[in-house]
Amino acid sequence: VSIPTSPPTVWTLIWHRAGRVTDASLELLGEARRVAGLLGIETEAVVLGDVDDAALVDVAEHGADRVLIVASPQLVRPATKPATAALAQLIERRAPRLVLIPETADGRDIGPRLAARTGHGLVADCAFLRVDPDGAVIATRPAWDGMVSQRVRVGTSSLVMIAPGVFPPRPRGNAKPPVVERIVLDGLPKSDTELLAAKRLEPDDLELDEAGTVVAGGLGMGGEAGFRSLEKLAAVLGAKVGASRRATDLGWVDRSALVGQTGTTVRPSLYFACGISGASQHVLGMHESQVVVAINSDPNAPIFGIADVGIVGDVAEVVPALTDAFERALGGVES
Amino acid sequence: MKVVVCVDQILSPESVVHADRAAASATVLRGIYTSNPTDDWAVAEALRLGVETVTVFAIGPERVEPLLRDYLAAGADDAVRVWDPTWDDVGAAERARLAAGVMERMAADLLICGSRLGARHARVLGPMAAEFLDVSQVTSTVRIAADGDCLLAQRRVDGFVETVRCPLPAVVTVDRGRPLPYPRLPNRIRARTATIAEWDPAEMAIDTGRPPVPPPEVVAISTPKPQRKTAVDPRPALERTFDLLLGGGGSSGGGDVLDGADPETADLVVARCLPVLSKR
Repeated sequence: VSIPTSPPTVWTLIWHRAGRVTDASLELLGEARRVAGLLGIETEAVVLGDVDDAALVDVAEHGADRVLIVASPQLVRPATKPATAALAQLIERRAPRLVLIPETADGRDIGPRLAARTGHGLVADCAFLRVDPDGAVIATRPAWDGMVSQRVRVGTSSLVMIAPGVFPPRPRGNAKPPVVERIVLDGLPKSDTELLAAKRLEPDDLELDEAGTVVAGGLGMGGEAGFRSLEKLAAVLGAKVGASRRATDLGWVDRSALVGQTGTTVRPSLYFACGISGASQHVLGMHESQVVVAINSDPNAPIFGIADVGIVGDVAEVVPALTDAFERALGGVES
Repeated sequence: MKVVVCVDQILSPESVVHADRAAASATVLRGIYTSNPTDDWAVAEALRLGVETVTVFAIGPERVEPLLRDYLAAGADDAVRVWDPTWDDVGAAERARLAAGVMERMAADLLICGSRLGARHARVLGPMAAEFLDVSQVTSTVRIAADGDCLLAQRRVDGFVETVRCPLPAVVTVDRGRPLPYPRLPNRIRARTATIAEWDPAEMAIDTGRPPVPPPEVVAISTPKPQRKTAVDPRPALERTFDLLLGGGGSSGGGDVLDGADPETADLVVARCLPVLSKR
């Protein structure tokens, strides 16, 4: 297969799923454009496998001067081995100035393997990129388990892995239609890994300590029926259900839901403490939550001491009212 | 099936590392080392496979031995330490090459590594070792299970849960898992006196047939400045914990308190929560 050569450019690897380009990839296109501008060269987005035209427009509008689509029947998820082989061939032929890799699960899968295959330098966890007046590209990264910050020189065709959210997405600026170059690669190795099933991650798949929102109940919920109403609120919010020690001891909810000193420590963005008094062993497991909403009929309950918003009332009335209000506000769809 | 698990220590935030700006290098002045939680998960997944042998190994100096003994106490069958006393540190690619060497020397079917959570090299070690050995890899796993000559793995990728099957030998990185089993007394006694094999890195060198990955050229080094913008309780965590325990739980301030279950109250709460929900 003949891959045409081109002057060095700044590459961004584009990860996509179900035809949609990931946000992490779009973020890096803006950074690639900034760095390429400082170097006086162009940017190229490298897409493995086919995507639809709307995705290509998206990539172009976020800053790619050219889009390289690498096509092969082998590039179907999971495609670690063929993707590594394809990128290694392409890098060998085109010698990009540097390759930005979104450090998502796909990036962590392919980036290090590609470095090991090509022998090009790898900078993981890059937090900042700088271009010196002499044209040297310098990447900042944490080292020594985050205790120090290193600035390292990024050599030709080096791979730079950048986590999602490090660079904000830049506004769409390039309204030109995408310039697409399609490269068909034959002879890539077949993936030896077989995808048996894939399903969208639902709140139920998350562990309690991974959930962004936790709706927890205590003795004040009154029984299993009370927890059913919490499950409804949790479903509206896309949250996990937690519980205090008393509720789990009474068997109203599974012990895996226990939040506190003898259970799980959680640090969600939003924590609902419903019918929970706020005993110390519970509070120790949730006091680092970003926003705490407490509902309790006892105005002197200690939980109000750490709550950002407290509602003095009967959980049997307040929880359904909150469920309705969130359903209206979120349109009945998980946030 | 033979399984090897690569483990390492990480520096805890209480450690003191001096950044020598002139030499662009760092020195650990006070190193407080702990286990990497993802390594704990990796060992736990290995032990749950119920395989013939589980060997834990660390690429590090003598200080890693207590860590290896902890994993022996948890149920690992044996432990290996790979290190050259003349070394100060080893780069990621070299570590991956050594890990591949251990897997090859042990004729292991599976190499498991933890990933993420601050470990210096863990994130890249697994896939690099897989490439050096030209074997399959499955990264970002949350559960693994043996399936004859294959491995079944559940992984989380970009908001999806994927179930994959790959042939052995393979390399797996663990993103998340279950806790280590509680150390049983016989294992604890055995771990205390077990001999930890010491392997010479020179014997681990394998011919990967790949060009060497150059170590990064460090041009400057600094101690990161605190980035936190919000006020932080400066008291030690233990003191705060005691306050919470002795204060009967909630005792630190408090926010707005509303009354009743009327729709207006509910709307006020929703208005307060929506910005938090939309940030995620």
